[in-house]
Amino acid sequence: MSELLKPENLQMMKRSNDNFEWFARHYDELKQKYKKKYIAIDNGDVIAEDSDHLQLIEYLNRQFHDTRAILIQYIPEKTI
Amino acid sequence: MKIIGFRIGNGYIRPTLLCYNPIIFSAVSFRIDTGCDITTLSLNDALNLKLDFKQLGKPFDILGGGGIVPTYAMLNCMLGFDLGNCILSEKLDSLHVSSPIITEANVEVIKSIPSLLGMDFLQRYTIKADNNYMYLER
Repeated sequence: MSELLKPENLQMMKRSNDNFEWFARHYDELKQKYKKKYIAIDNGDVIAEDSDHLQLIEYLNRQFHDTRAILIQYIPEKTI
Repeated sequence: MKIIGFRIGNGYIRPTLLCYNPIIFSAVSFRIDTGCDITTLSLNDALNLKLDFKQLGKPFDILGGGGIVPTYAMLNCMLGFDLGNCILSEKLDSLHVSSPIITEANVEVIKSIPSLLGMDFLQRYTIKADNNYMYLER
């Protein structure tokens, strides 16, 4: 529990929530543009896309020191 | 106390998942699913978290919509929620992690399955919704 209260972790939780809210608000346009792809979202933007999930994860790990708040989302052809 | 989620067709929330064995401290999106008994981490999210299935012990079989799925149980996990003015942490007795066998026929479905917040968690709350948001209240 105390882990949650560290300032850097509180910041991470807020950022990850903001990323998901942005995704929810832009879902309709994202599903048109990135159908059948994995996208990574951070700070109000799609920062990477790939049809291969593991390649996207590897790319993010190379580019960013901390990827915990980044939202990685698959855009399915049809919403389940 | 109110946890706010978002609607993308269904309702979703994005807590921080904490676990000490294996060590995980990362945000995960869960679909609110009252038809699911146990909270379950999807294969997509297991990969996002770089989860090593070998660390999770021996799998057991669960019969789901797509047939029998080898499933692992992560014990003593917690979900952390930023409520704006305070942090709420909720214990999960068990978080299931499914490891389905991927075939050409089911790959698209498996990629599309999100992590599911099941009734083991949801029974503690009343679920409400409006146009854009979901609310878990108690």
